[in-house]
Amino acid sequence: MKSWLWLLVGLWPAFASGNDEAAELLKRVRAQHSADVVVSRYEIEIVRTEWQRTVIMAVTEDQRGGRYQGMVIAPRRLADTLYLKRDGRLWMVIPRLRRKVGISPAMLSEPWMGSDLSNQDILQGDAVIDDYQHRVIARDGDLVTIESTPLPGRPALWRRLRQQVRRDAVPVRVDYFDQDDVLQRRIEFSEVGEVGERRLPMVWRIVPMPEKGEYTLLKVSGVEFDPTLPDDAFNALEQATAGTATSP
Amino acid sequence: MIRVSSVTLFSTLRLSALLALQNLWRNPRQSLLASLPGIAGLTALLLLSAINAALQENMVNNFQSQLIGSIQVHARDFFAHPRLARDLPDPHRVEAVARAAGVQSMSPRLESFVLAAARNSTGLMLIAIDPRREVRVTDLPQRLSAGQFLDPPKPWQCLLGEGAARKLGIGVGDSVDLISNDRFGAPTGERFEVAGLLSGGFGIDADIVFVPVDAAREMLAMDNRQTNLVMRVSPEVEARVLAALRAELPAEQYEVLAWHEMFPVMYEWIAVQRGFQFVFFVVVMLLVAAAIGNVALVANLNRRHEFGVMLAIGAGNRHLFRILSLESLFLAVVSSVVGTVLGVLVIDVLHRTGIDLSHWLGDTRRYYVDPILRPSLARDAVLGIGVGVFAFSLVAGLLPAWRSARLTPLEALSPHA
Repeated sequence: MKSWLWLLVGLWPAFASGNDEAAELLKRVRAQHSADVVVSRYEIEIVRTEWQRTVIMAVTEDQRGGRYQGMVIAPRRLADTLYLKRDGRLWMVIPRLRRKVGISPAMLSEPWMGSDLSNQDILQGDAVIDDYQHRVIARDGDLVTIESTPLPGRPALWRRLRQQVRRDAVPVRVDYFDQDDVLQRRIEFSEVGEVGERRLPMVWRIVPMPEKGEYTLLKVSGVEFDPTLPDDAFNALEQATAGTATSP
Repeated sequence: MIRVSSVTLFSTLRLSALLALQNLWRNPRQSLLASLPGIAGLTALLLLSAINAALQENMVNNFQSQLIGSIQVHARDFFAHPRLARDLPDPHRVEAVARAAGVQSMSPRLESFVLAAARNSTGLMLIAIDPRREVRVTDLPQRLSAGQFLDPPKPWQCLLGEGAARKLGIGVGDSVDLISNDRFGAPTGERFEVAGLLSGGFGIDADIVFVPVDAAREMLAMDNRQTNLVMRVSPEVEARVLAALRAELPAEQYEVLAWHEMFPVMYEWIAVQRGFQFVFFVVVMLLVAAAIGNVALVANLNRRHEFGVMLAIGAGNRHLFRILSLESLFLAVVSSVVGTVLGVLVIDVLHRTGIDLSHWLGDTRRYYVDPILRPSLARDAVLGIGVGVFAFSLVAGLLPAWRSARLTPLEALSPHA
């Protein structure tokens, strides 16, 4: 689950905080999405003014081992396309060519599959945990607003993040501000569901700002925490990362 | 009274003209010398103009033939910001409008960017073409240096520039993987066989891969879409076709661009060259005028005694000026006519035989110039240069005539003058 909810984890880093309440809340958010192994399935609806497309993706993540493997299930033409992550590097495997393409740093800011997520979101969802500090800036009933800013000297894509979290550690909204402090992206979480004892938002709406009617809707259609994985669950990743990759 | 004056003026002019002609005829060597600079100058300028015109036409033609065509229609802003999602809104309508405007040669294209991977990898521009129709708008098949042009029944073929093939470490018959994002931004890729290698400007050599449009449509999830419609028209109708397309295709949906709007470098280069040519022509005409004036001045000095006798028997300065001016006029006419005839003949011969530029310049194709240049003249150029040389010759002859006509009989007849 962290595989897609890594964004959440990344957004709610708990350990670098200088504010105990913010740190505690973010630690609980993180715990909601963490496990040694997460297997999940997503339906991602990408809406553009010129077109609309739905991508279905299955993700297996070994959080303890730092391995990530996402496979596109639909549409048919993209089926079996793989996204692989290991040791802070990201690859893509195009099945028709049986070729692995390394995602270079120059490509990190490019949209992932044409959505409003970027390759950087996939690669560095976890990495930003240690790079931000957090403080509570507002409380409104059940809602806590936390502002996250990069730690001094740490490279950071965003100048600040403004996050709204329920007191029961369910995220509600995140606003991303660029280096000019202009709001660039908003993620809204809804349809909170229960998975065992965990409470997770099952629908995410990612909207580039200013809003022009384009967005990406990410629906969690299935998630399992710590299931037993077959031995070959990460075969594709192991094989792909063993060889050399094509890179631009 | 007026009639009497007109008759008198006509008689005087006739007499002066007869005397001028007689003078020219009497000294054929001198007359020939006086008209030679004009003849030579006019012939040279006509030849130079014809070579320049051929060179410019050749360059523009090759510039268009190589890749870009004469006119392209895209979705609005596609040229500045190419994206597959910005495809041509209604290609059938655009073709219908173009046909109605008289365009017969047009071809669809689909343009994007790919990562090409073989032994090595490199980024390339992908230009997907309809192999059957492309040959009507460009001469890509003539740019083949090895292999064959795209064969429509075989979709997964490509043409690579020699430089790109070298970079990828492959040749004709090898495979290359082209990886890109489809219309929706998702990664996609296909394996293509290299059918042929190309050489040429515009990045053809190093930066472009050509594939059949049907293959690209499938690979990039473009269905029947295309991003460009490329047209080829003659320079004479280009402006009219542009205006017709722009009038019919709404600007909020389409952009209609002429070759020089897409790639103004060549257009600007030709404009600069024309400016230099004009300055050069004026300088040559001034040199011609100086030569004619000099010859006339020397000739008039030699004829001082003759002028002195004419003035002494009552010819009058005006009469002398009239005769000498008419001599200049006749010489200018002869120079212009002979120079034009000679120039046209030389150009005609060179047009038939061609000038082999490669003899001096080596491979000229990189400058969009064919190795064999065939000079050709426009009627406007003949008229402009002919009138220019005539005017300069006439003015150059008038100054010595004016100086000679100011002499007194005593000055003219004095042996010490």
